[in-house]
Amino acid sequence: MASRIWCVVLMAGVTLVPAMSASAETSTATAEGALLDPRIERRRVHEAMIDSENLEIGAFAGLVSIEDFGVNTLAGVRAAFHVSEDVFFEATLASSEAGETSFERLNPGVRLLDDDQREWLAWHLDVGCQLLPGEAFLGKHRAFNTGLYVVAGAGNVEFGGDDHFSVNMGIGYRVLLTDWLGFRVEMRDYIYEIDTFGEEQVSQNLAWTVGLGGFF
Amino acid sequence: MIIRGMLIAGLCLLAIGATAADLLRVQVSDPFIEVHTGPGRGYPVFHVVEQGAWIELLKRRTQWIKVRTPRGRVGWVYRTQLARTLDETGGYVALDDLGQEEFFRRHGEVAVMLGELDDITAMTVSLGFAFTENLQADLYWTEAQSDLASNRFLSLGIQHHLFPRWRISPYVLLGAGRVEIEPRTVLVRPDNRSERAVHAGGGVRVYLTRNFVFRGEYRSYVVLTDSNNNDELEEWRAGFGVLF
Repeated sequence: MASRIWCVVLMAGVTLVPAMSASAETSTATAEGALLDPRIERRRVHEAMIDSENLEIGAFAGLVSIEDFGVNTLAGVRAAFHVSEDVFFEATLASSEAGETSFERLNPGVRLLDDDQREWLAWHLDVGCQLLPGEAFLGKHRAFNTGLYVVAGAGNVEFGGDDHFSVNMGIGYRVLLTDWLGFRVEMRDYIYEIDTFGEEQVSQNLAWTVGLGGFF
Repeated sequence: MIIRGMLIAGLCLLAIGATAADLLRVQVSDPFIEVHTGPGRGYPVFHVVEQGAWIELLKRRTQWIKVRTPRGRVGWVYRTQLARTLDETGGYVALDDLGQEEFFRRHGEVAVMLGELDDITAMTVSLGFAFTENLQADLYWTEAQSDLASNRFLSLGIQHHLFPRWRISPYVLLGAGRVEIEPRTVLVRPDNRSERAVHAGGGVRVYLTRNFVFRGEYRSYVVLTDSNNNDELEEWRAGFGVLF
């Protein structure tokens, strides 16, 4: 019985050893091949391969003083494209609802504009310039990148049931809370001609807003 | 449950693998490069990476690149300094400088223009696509508010550059579209009008720098009305375009 078992073991040995040595040979061959040809991928680096974040999208809210119609809340969205560290282009859309004129408050029942005409909707295309970039410090260990910027541009204000060609200009202060999230405080003047009260007049509408925007 | 867990773990591993593969590394070849705290020349230099060190490129904003240094510091490096680093092949990192040549290839263009349409201030936004260096198709949206009405034009046109390789490149244009005329509310309310319009004109494109151009245009519109006479309008406008 024992001799039969030994016989089986030896036969297995005879058949397996050449197979194992063969496999050992192939692995050596691959190792040698690898030594000669390491096939490490070396990548060329182009500037375009680095993920770019030049688009900023955000929202803002605040107060706008619609001339003759009181101070009202304002909310809007903006998208900006940063061309360089100094210059950016932006598109803004801001919406508000005009309140009552002092004439309407003094004369109950008098309505100069209906509800639809009180909707104040402005869109503008602006060019902006970053000035005075720097850092602001909060406590001892925290620094934020900041900057003062000015914007100016043209667009359209829909108010009193009509569209008005409008120019706007503003100045703001931006604080980057993180690399991609910015907080801004801004003052902006929307200027357009309007004839709601019969004669054409230049309307100045100052707005104070705070906003948040992310870079993508 | 276990399968879902394994799936999530597998996906996480894949994601890690992907980021590791996407990681761009370059080696400093100048004696040193300066790392700023923010993406702008006004931000102070807080760290310096010496020659031979490998830095990771994280992202870029305008002309600045966010990097991670071998010591784990994260800051911003100007692109001209990036140009003085070597990639894994040992070659200098290639900067993608945009030039006037970009305008001879197929490209898209966004332009904003301001002008006068029959003594009314008009604002135009256009989106264009250049098929060849000579031909470009554009979609225009023009708004012009007069004392009497709000006018909105939506038109499609084609511009042909006669000498596209000149820095100041003249072109002719032709197109058609629709005009919406909405009278002012202070007037007795007649109905809004919507008419077809065709236009022809010419202009110049002046190459400024990088991917920016100045555009000045004259165009003559014929508004095809139902009445006996067609309206004719003239518009001058100028603005800036950006290639993308």
